Amino acid sequence: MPRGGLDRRALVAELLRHREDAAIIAGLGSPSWDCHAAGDSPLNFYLWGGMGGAAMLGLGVALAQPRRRVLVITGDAEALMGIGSLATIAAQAPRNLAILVLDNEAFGETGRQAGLSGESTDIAAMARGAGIASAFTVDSELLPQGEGARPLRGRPAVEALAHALFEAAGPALCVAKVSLTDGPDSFPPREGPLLRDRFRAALGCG
Amino acid sequence: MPTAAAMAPAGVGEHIAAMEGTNPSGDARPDWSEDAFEALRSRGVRHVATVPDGGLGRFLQLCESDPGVRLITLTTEEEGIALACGTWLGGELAVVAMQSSGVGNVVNMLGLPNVCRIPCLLLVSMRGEAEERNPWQVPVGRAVPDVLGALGVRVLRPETAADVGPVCAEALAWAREACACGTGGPVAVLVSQRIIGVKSFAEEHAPSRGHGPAPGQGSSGGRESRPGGHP
Repeated sequence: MPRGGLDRRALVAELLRHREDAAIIAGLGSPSWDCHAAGDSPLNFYLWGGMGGAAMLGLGVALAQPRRRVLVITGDAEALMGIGSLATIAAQAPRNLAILVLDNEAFGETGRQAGLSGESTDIAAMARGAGIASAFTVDSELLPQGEGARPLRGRPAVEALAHALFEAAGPALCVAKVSLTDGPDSFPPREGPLLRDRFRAALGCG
Repeated sequence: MPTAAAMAPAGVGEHIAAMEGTNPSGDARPDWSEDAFEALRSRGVRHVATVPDGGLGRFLQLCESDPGVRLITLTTEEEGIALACGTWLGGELAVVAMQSSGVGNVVNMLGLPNVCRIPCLLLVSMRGEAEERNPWQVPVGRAVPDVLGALGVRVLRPETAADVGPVCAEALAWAREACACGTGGPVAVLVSQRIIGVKSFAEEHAPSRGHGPAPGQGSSGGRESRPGGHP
């Protein structure tokens, strides 16, 4: 697990203060609980299944709503299960789509088994290889790491990250190394049609 | 601009000619692609996601040449199911076009349109039916109707090339009902090998080779995809 990683609940809450009218697609498990804990919104679509599909769901919304900012917030294993999506997304080049991977290097929801992003696999590098040029990792101090790590200079770190995810031209992907922790339970509604209808209504297409 | 066939390496031109409606043996097979495209396009489909298949070649060309349609190439078919759910959440319909083997790749993701009652239409070019020459296509090809049915996907099977367009229209209407009143749901249109034609293989066109290509003769083996009807 990342030593001294970011507090995922605090990071998500801080970032979502900058969302304005952005649509959020939350990957299954802890990323959904994090987004819900930061404040429920009809513009949040929470996945309770479909592992590997969060980024593509986000791409679909982004293509159908090109003037709406879309942020996918998901986990490292969910992102890896759908890793090919990054090639698909790079080819479509949606300017309004960004992906935040909360990387605790573990399968946090199923018993904290070790994941694949700790020792050997660099998801941001995979994103760059797929063709997403703006792909970078941030560590516990929100200091960008490695190649492609440029957007966080010159501003307080969270605001700079919010700018990269909500304002800068996409597609973009940020891997945030987070501690292996859970916040208090914060479960969103689990009725698919309810989530669907309120999301569509909030986008004006209900 | 040069045609795709003119730009392609030697040997691939024949493949593209087959996708354009004349197959290597010169059969004139009624084409279903234009009817299917028109049925979907005129009913508001603006996004088509695909892992390409030879049997879908003409349909995909029509998508690509229409500036009002975005053709989205996928790495795996399950991406298309999630994408179609996303476009619908954003107010637009998408079709996911795939070969029958791709149905094996979408299984878990079909839970998403099912549980959320989101319109989702799969256009499937079949393999593994009667006269299939690649046995590796048979297990999943044969399982397609059962797999989709078990996951709550309605399966529609046009009987002739002329049926494909109307069946696509019916499928779209059914898919939309998923959201409108909850009676419809995810739906698949299976275009059979009887309609598309059976894929042939290079060595089958070279009788002097006997039981398979000799070393160094450069057979393309099973990698070429020819949807045209082999005699």
